Amino acid sequence: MLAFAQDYLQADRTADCPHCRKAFRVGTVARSTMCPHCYRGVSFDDVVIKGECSGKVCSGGRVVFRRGSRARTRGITAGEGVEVHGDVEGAVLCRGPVVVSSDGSLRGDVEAASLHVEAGGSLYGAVKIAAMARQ
Amino acid sequence: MSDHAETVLGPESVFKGELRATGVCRILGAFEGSIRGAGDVHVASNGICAATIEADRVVIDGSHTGDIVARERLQLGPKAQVRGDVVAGAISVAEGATFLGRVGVGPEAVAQARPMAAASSQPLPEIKIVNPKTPGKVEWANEPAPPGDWMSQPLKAPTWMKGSEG
Ligand SMILES: [Zn+2]
Repeated sequence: MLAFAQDYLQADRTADCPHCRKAFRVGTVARSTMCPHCYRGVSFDDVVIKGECSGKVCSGGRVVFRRGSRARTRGITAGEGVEVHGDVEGAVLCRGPVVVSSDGSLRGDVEAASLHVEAGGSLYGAVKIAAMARQ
Repeated sequence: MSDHAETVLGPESVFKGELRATGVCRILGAFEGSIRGAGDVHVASNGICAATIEADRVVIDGSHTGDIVARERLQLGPKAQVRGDVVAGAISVAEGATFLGRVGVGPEAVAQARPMAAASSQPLPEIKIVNPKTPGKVEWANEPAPPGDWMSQPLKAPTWMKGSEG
């Protein structure tokens, strides 16, 4: 195997558990793992919602609500980012950026690293933007 | 008046009161009171502002406490520290900025903004001049936590995260 490919496969990164919020090391190419702190499954795949959705939405990667989607959630947790193009309700906790596009609507409190609501989009809720300290 | 009119509060200056301006208004020093404008308001990186702001576009790179109505757009730079309620047509908070407040973004929020601006939620902190020779250096006279402190507390998981589901 080429040396650089071997390095890539062996490299690791810091990830955050969307359940307990504690940080741990995980391989760069890992798509899912178990949190060493709370022993719950963590997926790093993006979650894309196209239709209707309820309950909790959780991902170590990104959560994307497509245009026309309608979500009445009990909370959205994302490790890398949240994109809202549909109609979404629920508190958002995200270590990355939260983006509400011009056709998106979000009602709920937001805690994130950064926030962008485009003209035409809407957001109602309490917002806390700050660098989140890893636990 | 021309849209290009520019009102600048210099870096060594302190102003208390109500400012009405058209065009661009730049706060490089310390401002306390209220700003109403038909154009842009910019609080520069060393600017300290304890005010209600109502303008078309608001850009904050410094420290601000108080409610903001930005009819078109509110932009917080990566070093901005802002605490207050916001109504805006669009909002952008860069990574690195700290912001805490209630937010209403969108055309409907802007249309309903006027009553909210009139009934400002909290009394604004008073700016106290530490040294009259360097008025750019100010401190908050009655603010319990100076800008920065309220963000240093560790984040707590919201109650909905504490359940066993997921
Ligand atoms: Zn965990």
